[in-house]
Amino acid sequence: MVLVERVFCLCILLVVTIFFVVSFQYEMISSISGVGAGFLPSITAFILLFLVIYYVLKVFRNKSTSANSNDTFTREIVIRQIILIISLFSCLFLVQILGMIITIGLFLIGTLHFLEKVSWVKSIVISTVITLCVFFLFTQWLNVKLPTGVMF
Amino acid sequence: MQVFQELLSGFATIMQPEFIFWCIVGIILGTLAGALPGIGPVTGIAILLPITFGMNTISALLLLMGIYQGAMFGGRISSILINVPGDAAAVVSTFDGYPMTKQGKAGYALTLSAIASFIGGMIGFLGLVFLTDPITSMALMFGTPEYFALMVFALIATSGLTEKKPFKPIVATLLGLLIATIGADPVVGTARFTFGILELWEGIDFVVIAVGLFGLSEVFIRMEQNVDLEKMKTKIPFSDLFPKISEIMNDFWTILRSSIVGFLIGVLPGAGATITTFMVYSMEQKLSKKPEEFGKGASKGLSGPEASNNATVGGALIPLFSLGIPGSGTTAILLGALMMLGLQPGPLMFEKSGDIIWAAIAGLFLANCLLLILNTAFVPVFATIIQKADAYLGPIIAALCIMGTYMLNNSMFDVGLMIIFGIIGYFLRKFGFPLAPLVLAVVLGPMLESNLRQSLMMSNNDFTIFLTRPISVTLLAISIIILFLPIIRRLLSRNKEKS
Repeated sequence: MVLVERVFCLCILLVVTIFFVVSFQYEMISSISGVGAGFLPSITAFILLFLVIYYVLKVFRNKSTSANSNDTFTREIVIRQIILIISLFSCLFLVQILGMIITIGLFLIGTLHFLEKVSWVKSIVISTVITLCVFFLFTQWLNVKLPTGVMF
Repeated sequence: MQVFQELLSGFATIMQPEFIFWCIVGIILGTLAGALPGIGPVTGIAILLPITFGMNTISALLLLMGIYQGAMFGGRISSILINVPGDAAAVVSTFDGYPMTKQGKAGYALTLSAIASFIGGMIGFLGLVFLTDPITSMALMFGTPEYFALMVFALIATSGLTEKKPFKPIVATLLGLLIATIGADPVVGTARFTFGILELWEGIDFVVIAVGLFGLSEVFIRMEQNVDLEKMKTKIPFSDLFPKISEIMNDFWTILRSSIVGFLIGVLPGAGATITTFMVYSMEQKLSKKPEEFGKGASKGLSGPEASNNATVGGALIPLFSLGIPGSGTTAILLGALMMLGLQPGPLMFEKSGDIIWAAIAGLFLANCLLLILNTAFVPVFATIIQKADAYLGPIIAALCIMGTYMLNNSMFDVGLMIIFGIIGYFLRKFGFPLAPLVLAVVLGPMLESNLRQSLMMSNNDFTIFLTRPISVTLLAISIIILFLPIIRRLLSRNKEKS
């Protein structure tokens, strides 16, 4: 948990530092509106940078500030979460090939069976029902144009 | 007295089977649109607007009023049941509504919020009928400096600065403000933090962030928990589905004051239901004798924001009807719809088309009553579905998040961003960072900046403009008091210990 929080706070520090440095590219004072485009981002990033440095120091002094310090990241859960992230990002690419409806159907079958350990039959039935609902609700009733993919 | 007579004539007009039918159609469609993540009232009304083409004016207005009220009601359903807010204003309903569902009190939460929404809607309706004139003149006193002061006040009051450990809420607020600055700046259009990505020019949509932080992060959290299959088989006792009268009476003052606050803020153009719900939640937490229960399933944390959310409907219609100024995205679309129906919202609308407008106002009352009946009737269905589907909810929520986010701008880039915010939200939740201040800062950030810069343009870059106007100086003074409250408290407690 402590290691994960250390990595997390360093990531925030990196992001805030980038925002802080980049914010100086924009003008602080503008002749049109008094303060320029960089005024709010610079000030916000500056204060945030100080606070995040304080947070990093606190975490690295082995003082875990997490709300649920009893939580542990077990190997099995982490693997399942990583698989979910990969399948979510895969959807972004699959949508362009198979279209939204089929991708959502496949995503549901895959996640229900492999991540939630639901039987094949139940996974297929649930995902078919939901996919059909999505299809009728969005494309038929609401007239929303969902991507159909290059294969269709 | 004249107002009362006109209202009665409005009721007499709409009490026909055809009009009641269209009102029912409106509330069903509106509730569905509100409950679907990513759609919400604005998109819901916009999508359903073509249905009114060719209809007579009163039927069309009743349908629109039904959709508007229904969408405001519906937003809470997905918030309470699956932690995915249907729209921005329903984000707050996830804070205590979803913990109630986790405790097996989904039916209770849905009924309580329906009753609170009904009372809020009624207070909004009464305000719309009887307070239109005085409130219109008050709303006109709000210029950009007053809005800036209001935004500062809302941010400070709701960011958790007054809590015992304000560090993480402050970091979350500032992170939200920083995220809000992504995209073209509101005055001169300079692209900020876009890193060459064209899709970031318009900034990151609030719904993308909210769905990721609340909805998708919930899927990751759910993966850590084991589903109790035995619990899924047990039947929910019918009595557990509905709150007792004594329980509603416990929340009575919360609902009442939240409705009044919601109505008043709803009148202000631009303030909207989202800010109102956050402010009311924070207000109720501070007023509560048990503030530690907030976020863990406190009934006041649900009933207050829900009441205020629906009370804004009546408030938002005042500037629309009497001045022709739409106060929110939803009323902007309603303005277009009114004009499409041949009405001209503005000071003369009540004189020229009084009969139609009073029928629409009476329709608001009818929609509110019908919504309470329909929503309460479906509570057992929703509660049973959510209980039986618990094991399958994770992937379903993830799929809904993808669909909802995509539909917002028909953009897969938004879906990618939503996934990233889902991962960020998961870690923020794990390490105790509250998500509410972050989300509120994302909403208020652009408004805060544009009002600050417009005020400075008005005053030729003179910062004293905020101190020379009574409303803005009062709001800023209250904000400063809240800011220094923790320090004052510490000093007082030290003095007590010494003595």
